[in-house]
Amino acid sequence: MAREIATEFDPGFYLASNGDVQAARLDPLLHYVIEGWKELRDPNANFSTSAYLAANPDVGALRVNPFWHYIVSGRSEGRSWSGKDPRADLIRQLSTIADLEMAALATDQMSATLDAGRLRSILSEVGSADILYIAVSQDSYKIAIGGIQLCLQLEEKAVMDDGGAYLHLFPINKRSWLSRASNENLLLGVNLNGAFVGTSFADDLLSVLGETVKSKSILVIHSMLGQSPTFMVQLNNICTETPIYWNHDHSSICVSYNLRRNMVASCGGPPLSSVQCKMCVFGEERGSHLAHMKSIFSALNPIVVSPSAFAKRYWEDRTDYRHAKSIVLEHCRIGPAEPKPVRSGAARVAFVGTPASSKGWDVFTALASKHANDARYEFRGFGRHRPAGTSIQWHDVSVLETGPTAMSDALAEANIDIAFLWSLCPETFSFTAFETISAGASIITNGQSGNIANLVENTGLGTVYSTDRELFEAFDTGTVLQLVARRRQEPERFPLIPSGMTAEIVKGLGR
Amino acid sequence: MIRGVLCFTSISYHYLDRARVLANSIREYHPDWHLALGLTDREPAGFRFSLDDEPFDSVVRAEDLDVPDLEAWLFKHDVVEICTAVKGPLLARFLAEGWQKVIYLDPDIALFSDLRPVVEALDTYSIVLTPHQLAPEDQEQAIIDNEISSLKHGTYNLGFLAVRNDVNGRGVSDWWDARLRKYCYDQKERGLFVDQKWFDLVPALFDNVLILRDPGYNVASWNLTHRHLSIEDDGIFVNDLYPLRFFHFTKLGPIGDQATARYAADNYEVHEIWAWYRRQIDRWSAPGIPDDWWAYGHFPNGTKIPRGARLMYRERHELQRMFPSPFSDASNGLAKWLEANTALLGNRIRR
Repeated sequence: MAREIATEFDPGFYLASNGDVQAARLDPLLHYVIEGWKELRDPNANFSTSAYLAANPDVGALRVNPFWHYIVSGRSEGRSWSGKDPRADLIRQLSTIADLEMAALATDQMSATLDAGRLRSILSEVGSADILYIAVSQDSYKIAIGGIQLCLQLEEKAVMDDGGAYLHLFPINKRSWLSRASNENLLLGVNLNGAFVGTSFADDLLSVLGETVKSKSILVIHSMLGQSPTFMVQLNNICTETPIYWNHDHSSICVSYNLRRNMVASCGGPPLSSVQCKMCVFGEERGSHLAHMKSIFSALNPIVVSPSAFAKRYWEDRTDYRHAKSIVLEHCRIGPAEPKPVRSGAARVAFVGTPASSKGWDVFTALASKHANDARYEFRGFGRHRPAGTSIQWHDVSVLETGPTAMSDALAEANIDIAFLWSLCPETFSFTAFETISAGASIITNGQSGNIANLVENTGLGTVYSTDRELFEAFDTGTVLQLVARRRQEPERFPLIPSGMTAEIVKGLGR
Repeated sequence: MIRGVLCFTSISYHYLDRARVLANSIREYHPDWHLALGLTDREPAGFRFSLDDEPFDSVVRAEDLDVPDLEAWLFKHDVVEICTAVKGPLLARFLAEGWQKVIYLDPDIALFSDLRPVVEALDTYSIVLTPHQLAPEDQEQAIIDNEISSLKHGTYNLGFLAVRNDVNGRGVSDWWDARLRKYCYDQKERGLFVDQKWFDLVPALFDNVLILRDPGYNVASWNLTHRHLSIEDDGIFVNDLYPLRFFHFTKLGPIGDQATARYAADNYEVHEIWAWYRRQIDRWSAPGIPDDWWAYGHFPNGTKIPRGARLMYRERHELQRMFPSPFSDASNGLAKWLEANTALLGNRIRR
């Protein structure tokens, strides 16, 4: 019995989730086979002993190890092990935007650190700059981490290098939908030239900016989430230049900004009248969300900047908003190849980024667990958010703290062969894909991952699988190792060259 | 007078939210149908029922039915038994009123596309039925949960029934009505299961019965083993081909969740459809109705009527003769008699 169980037992997971077994220095496999299953402990991250017994009462009656039963007969009988199903739990816990808004109101912060006077003295210095950028996004790029935040860092640097002033406004009371607050209640965090200076209400900001901004100025929208449509239009009225709308995510197509129906399925941004929208928790909100977006675009007539040709085409296919033009500017580019050292041994497969189910973390843990004792592979994780309860070796990497090449350096240093970029929504750009390419690793992804799949198809630096099943087969049969062998023959790295974001566009327009 | 299609459901107030969701979903696809609500309940204090505020065109209360000794009849049944028993008299009444095609749907159903094929089938057939399962099970657990359960509860799910107003349809209706007035009980040991098990006999006893073997109808936990749902822009589909006509949201709550977890497994669309249903129920809930409300579930003094008391009353004719108004809590009423002669009301027997 132990032999069958051993093939899929994850000793690292077992020790990580059972401190008492680890403390007593017991053999994890033996402990599970003899005692652990009776105490409803789990043999790996995927199999729930208790859920299997609950779903299959006849197995309980047999009084045999449920995991053994699952391996030798339950699986082929198509028995469900259910229970540990984060996707089903997520669906069960979905809340409407209306309910989320109600809940959020209760914890909103309602006092500003800057009054109009303080704001006036702080903003007086922006008058002397050649050009003032007023950038808005959903949170502070100085604190939060992610693709958009990285873009703002790049943009801030490029603007300041060019002698411009960079004012960034972000909602203090966070929403992943449009703010419903009026200007006197809309509290914004203010970053000026890379430093946080305080918080202010939108009406004070408007009146002070109206007085102080006399020079060239441009509104740059990186995200509308948590921002107010009215405020956005008023802010633009203060500025002199054609505003920029960055098509970083799909929030102009749906309030579900990564186009996830009920947060679990890729929906492709269908027509509002579709059955997908009817069945989706975001469907109800989407109607008014789109109406607001339409009014913002009508008022702003912005230049829409997409970070990839894929994102541009995707946006143009799904919207009919008024805009001055639609262009592509990648957040970074890949430089010429440089050699890197040759390496052999097990293929190293890395999850890169935030361990969330929409990024394929569940699929990765299932894959890693299945091959926990398979000498052909080693599974690692890289990112700023270390997941709980996993035996996968995790490397803490923060681009925010260490610099823009931190991730590609870490992947290269750990000799990663394959990055698992299993995004379940259409990415408009994907820094992690560029970081992977820069590190000289290959990408494995699925067909729904937007620009990731697009990059793999254009560069040939990886494989696009159409289903989870195909992915698992590639690891079972070892065909995925062909990818590794090919790259190991000619090991190379590529430098990452960051873009200047909006500063680059403004310079281009000036020429 | 010749009338078109009437569709009805049957509830106590506890299921008003579900009935509203059902009716709204029918309205979306069949705005021309007449929607009738069978109601076996009375309003709790402070709650006002107004047809103007409901998505139904008419309501028929138990009191309106042509059932002799109504109080005694109500007392003999628990809430599930009575809400299914009234389906017989209701169907007979609607046919007598001249409705050409009558469709019954359980309140915990919602439509996801139109039922035109059923309406059209009634041009040819007198009766349309949907079986619980359309394909044999091959797993032990599913054989127990689905096939053996159907042997116990009936082959056809009576959450759906469509009847044409012809000699044959009225024949079925009259026969069923008569049986339900006397034998609409959950007594599986006697071979009875409310209104449903009776229909096992229908294809043998009557002509012109269509057994609708389209997996788009009556999708529920008991047939998910063979039905895979997908949500597309233009509809929900079963096994890629068949439009989902209606889903039967049986057992809203933890038991239903467990059945979904077991049989939907990684068909997450089923979980999504359930989540949609829960949102609809929240939206159409009737706040004035207490959770466990059923006017006929209690004696006027608030004492809950245990099933045992109903069984005893049902079996013993002398009790029915002595207490023709069994809900009364008069000093010479059934409640007092039960208190004095049985331990059914949680009391000690006083003798």
